[in-house]
Amino acid sequence: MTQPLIQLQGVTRVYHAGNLAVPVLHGIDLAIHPGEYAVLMGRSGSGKSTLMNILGLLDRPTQGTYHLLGQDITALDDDAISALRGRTIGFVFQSFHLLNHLTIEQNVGLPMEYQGASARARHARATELLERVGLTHRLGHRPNQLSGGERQRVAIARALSNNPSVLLADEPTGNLDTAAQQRILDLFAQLHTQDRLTLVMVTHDPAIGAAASRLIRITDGRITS
Amino acid sequence: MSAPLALVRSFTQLRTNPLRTLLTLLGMVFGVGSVVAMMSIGEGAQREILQNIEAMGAANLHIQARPVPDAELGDTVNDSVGLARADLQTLQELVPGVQEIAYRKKLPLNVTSLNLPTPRLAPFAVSHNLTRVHGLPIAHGRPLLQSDFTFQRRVVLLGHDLARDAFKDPAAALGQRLRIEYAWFEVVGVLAPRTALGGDLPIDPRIYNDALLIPFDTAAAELHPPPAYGELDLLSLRVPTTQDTLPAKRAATPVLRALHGGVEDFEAVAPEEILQQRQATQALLNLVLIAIAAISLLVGGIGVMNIMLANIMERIHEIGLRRAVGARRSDIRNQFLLEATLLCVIGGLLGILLGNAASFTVAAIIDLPIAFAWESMLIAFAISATVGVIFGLVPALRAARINPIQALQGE
Repeated sequence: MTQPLIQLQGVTRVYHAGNLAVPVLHGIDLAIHPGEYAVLMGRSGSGKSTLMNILGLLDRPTQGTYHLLGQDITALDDDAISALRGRTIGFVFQSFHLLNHLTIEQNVGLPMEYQGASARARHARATELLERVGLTHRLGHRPNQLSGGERQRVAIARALSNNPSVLLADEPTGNLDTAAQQRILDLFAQLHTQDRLTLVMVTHDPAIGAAASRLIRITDGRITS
Repeated sequence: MSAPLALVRSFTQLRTNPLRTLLTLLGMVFGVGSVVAMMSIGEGAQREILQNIEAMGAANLHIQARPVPDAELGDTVNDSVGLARADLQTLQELVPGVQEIAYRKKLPLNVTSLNLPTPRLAPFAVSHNLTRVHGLPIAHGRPLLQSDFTFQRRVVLLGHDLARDAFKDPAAALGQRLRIEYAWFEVVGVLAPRTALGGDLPIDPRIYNDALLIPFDTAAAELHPPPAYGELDLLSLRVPTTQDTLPAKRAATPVLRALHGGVEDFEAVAPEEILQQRQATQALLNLVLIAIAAISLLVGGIGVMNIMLANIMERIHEIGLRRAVGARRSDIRNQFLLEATLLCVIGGLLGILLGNAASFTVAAIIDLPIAFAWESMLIAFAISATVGVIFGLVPALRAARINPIQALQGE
């Protein structure tokens, strides 16, 4: 078997509310291999968002180790983690999080700005990715001129701009109608089969879970299957 | 993120809400505007002082007749005859460094052959060296000569404006004859125009624009016999440099007091002194203006800080997103700091325009001398950038500290 892309060992996360310690994750062991399409399911409050935050380097485990691409991230400082996050992880959010004062092209190129990419490189990559998601004609528009489905496709293009090792999607279709939802899921399926991209998606919808290559259930901070 | 790109992005951000940007700028505009106006006016005043000193003869000690109240006049004349030619010899001998002494007396003369109002005219009986000592160039014709005095010639020099108004062209006045009281005088020269402001100085060079300068000896013999008291209005002692005028004043005052029997019917004015007084006044004015500017800048800076803090709350999703796509804390800090600084610098640039417009307008209305102070542009720019950094730092650091997870949730 190849080396896992993501490897969590004995990861716990405890939040502190005043004097009260609230454990959210209890000893998570999880390995995700390159090319996997994993779907994370669980009730709200089960800890799946916390797990996603840890996977996405937005949060750190209270205990346990996290190896990303073989590198122990618990040893890295905040700047190094930010840089690693920008290079290796693409985020897709339920509420898109596009910046309205920037054009579609600039939104797609935004992660590249923090990697020091030239204007020409950003333009070339944004054009390529917008063509991929079928929005070439929207290049110079603003996010608020687009429909929800279009916005999410822009967000996916943005997540792909730095050629990430893994795409993390948190309820990416939660705000979309059925047709738009299907289009997003088709796009994910294509990224999985054609590009061999590693995908981790949080969802409530069992129908979406069926398309994945692997289903991870989480209940009360523990992986149950 | 590269610096030019960060700058472009900051501009884009400020453009998204032009009205707010403008309102936020206003404090800075007024703060910097007052700094610039202050400096233009200060610079102008400084130049005016120097011009005045220059115009009145930078290296002259002036001694003016000081009017004695009528009630004391009876006692005074027993002891003093006022400023007189009799003083010259002693001053020349006892005041160190005196190179020459010029003098003049204003006379109440009518020029009956000219169709100009008499009050406008400034007829003076003068020493032959007065035009040289007071720095009055001759534009046409010749100056007064020693021989005009020796032979008591009926000749006159005209001020530029007087010659122009009486004869259309100043040059045309040469050789013309004027009837002063009952005698005819020939115009032998015309002075160059003087424009410098005089204000409270004893020698306002502009009064020479309407002057008739008559050889003192001619006037005494033909027009106006010297009175028993107050033969002269003004003595000007030329010394080597401006710095020598104060020592000359200290030396001349006791000499004159002794000559005048202890009566203080004269006043010595050293340009150096006036320069110092004016500078002291200017320094006080500057202090007041600096205080106003500092308060405006403080208020402007607080306005910028307030808006930037409000901005963080409004753009919390943006901060979270930027962190998620790879921005470090320092990238967020720099972004907000750059925006605040840019805001202040734009305000500063507008302030420079406003300050100049204001000072030029004020100058035009109240005849205040101003000068375009180039340094003020640089200083204003530096001040506004500094205010931006100082007042932008707290919001920027706060933005940088925000937890990206909470930011994305929009707490």
